[in-house]
Amino acid sequence: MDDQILITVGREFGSGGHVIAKAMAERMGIRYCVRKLLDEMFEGDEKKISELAHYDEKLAIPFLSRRVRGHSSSPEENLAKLQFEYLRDLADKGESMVLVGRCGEWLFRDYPNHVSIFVTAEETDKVARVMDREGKTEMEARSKMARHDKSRAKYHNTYSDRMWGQASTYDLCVNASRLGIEGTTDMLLSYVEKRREAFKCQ
Amino acid sequence: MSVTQIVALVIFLVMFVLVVMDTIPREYVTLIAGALTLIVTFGLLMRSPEAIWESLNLTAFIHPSFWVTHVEGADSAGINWATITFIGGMMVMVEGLAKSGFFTWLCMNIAKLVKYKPVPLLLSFMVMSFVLAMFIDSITVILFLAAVTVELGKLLKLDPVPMIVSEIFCANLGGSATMCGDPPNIIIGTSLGYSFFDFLLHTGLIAFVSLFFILIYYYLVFRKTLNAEHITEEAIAALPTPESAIKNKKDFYISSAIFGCAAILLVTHAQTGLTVASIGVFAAVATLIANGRDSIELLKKVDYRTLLFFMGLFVVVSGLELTGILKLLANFIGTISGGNLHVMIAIILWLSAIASAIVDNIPFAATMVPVIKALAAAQGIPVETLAWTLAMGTDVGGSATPIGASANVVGISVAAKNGHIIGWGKYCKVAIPATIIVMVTSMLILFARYV
Repeated sequence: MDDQILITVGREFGSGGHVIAKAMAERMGIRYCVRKLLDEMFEGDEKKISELAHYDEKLAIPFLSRRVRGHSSSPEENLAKLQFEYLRDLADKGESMVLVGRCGEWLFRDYPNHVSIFVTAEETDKVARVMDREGKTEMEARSKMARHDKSRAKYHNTYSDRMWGQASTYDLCVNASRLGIEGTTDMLLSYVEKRREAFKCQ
Repeated sequence: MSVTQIVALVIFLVMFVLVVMDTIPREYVTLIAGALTLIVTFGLLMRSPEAIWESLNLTAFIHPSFWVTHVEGADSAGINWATITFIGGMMVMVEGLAKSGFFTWLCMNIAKLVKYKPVPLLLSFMVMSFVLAMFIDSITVILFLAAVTVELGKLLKLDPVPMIVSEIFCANLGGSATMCGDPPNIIIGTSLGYSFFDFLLHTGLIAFVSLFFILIYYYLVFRKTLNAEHITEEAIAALPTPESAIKNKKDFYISSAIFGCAAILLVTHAQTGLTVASIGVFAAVATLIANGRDSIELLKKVDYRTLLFFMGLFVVVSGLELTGILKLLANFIGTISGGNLHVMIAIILWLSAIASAIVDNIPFAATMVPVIKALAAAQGIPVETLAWTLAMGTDVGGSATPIGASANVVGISVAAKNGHIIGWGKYCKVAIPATIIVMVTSMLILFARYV
């Protein structure tokens, strides 16, 4: 448990947060939790995984869901809670991980060995990355970025008592345009290393 | 339409939309809407302290008919304190019953009785859900039944989803059979002065006939899935015994006895002259005395939010009633039906069912009770016929969608907490045909018996 490290990465769409988080997990040799979370949770049940993918990291739709005495009918909310429980269970077992999204900084807020990071980037860099990665026009890329960031903020702010993308929510907010993907990864790894030393001293 | 009527209607519609949107706790919504009705509609526009007083209906408690006859509140608009007292009392009793392990014990015994075979398990749990929901609120029934089903599913390696969705449906259907089974029935019964037996003889008969078809329907839908499951002897041996659910034998016997007494009092309340409000108070007081020091804990678990929700709701509906809006609606239904009882039954049944499938059935039922009273008076038809129609529509219509009734939400949530997410598609695929079966059965029986 002493060596455990829980790194949570919030990110703006197109900022390169995913790439940075993945590189950090690979270089540290720890679990990388992102899109494959459903595969892990329902291993071997392909039908269920494809069914649940529709509800993953989405918000409950007003008028189509209801709450009764703390219970919810929303598959989106129920899946989110199930995922939170799964992730907390992993953390309780002493697993180290880099978790992207899913209100990670709120989820692990009470865990001692937790580092929360938010990755942003210059608008032009984000647009260029989305255009390059998805073959979209500039207008399409901007519209997709706005849509995704809005949905991520809503999802985050529904479950967390802090605001998505606001500096006070995280330990460290970084603009990936300044040092580039690799430089930012190096910097963050060095920050994590320093935090690890600090954890040991506590 | 006058300004007063428009204001009362706007307050009601905004409240309804906010309750359905579920973004603000619903008890805040109805209480604020209720306060606006009292201040703006009755106070500022109507300048009628009498309307405020009638809406609050505080004298209900001191009226003997609140306690010892079954005609309470028959002619008064406003807060239906009999409904609130009964529901509150039953909440206390059910908390005591749950604490004693009664529900888990009952479920495990039934499962043992059918030797844990999937198809008999499905059918017996459906019947148990139906019967329990006749006396206890369907939320509690499903909370425990679904939890036991999930546990059995885990130990027997059985998919619990088919059983949970069938249990939910039967809890709603069972609730329609009696006066105390579902909040709309309590509202209808206390507002129009019906007894437990009146419901049993009318909606009860329809519910029992429907149950027969529903058992066949769910058997046909799920037989392949359930027959494919193989329960091993080892899995059965690993199951806990029913007795292990009982935490304290003394509490168990006392709670079961109180439940039994409450059930007998409900069944015989037309003969004894006790109102459902009195029975609710009896059940609560007996449970609190029996639980001694733990009674504070039981009281803390009571769902006060629902009781507050009811209070605000009744005030808002009284705003519609005292300003004459509901009479307009009744006249409208009378006009489009052309005074034909067949058409009136069909409209009320299907309108209630469809509305209850989309929105909470409690506000709908509370609104419709004064409407059917006015409609019956205007058209010269027995209000009973419309009351049974409204009860079946609101109670069973809510079964069609995941949000239609509280039991659906709770069952879906219990399944989800154990890794079984049930979305709209999965739920509606089996629940909508089942609801249509019951609605058609109800309509045919209502036509044959009352027209």
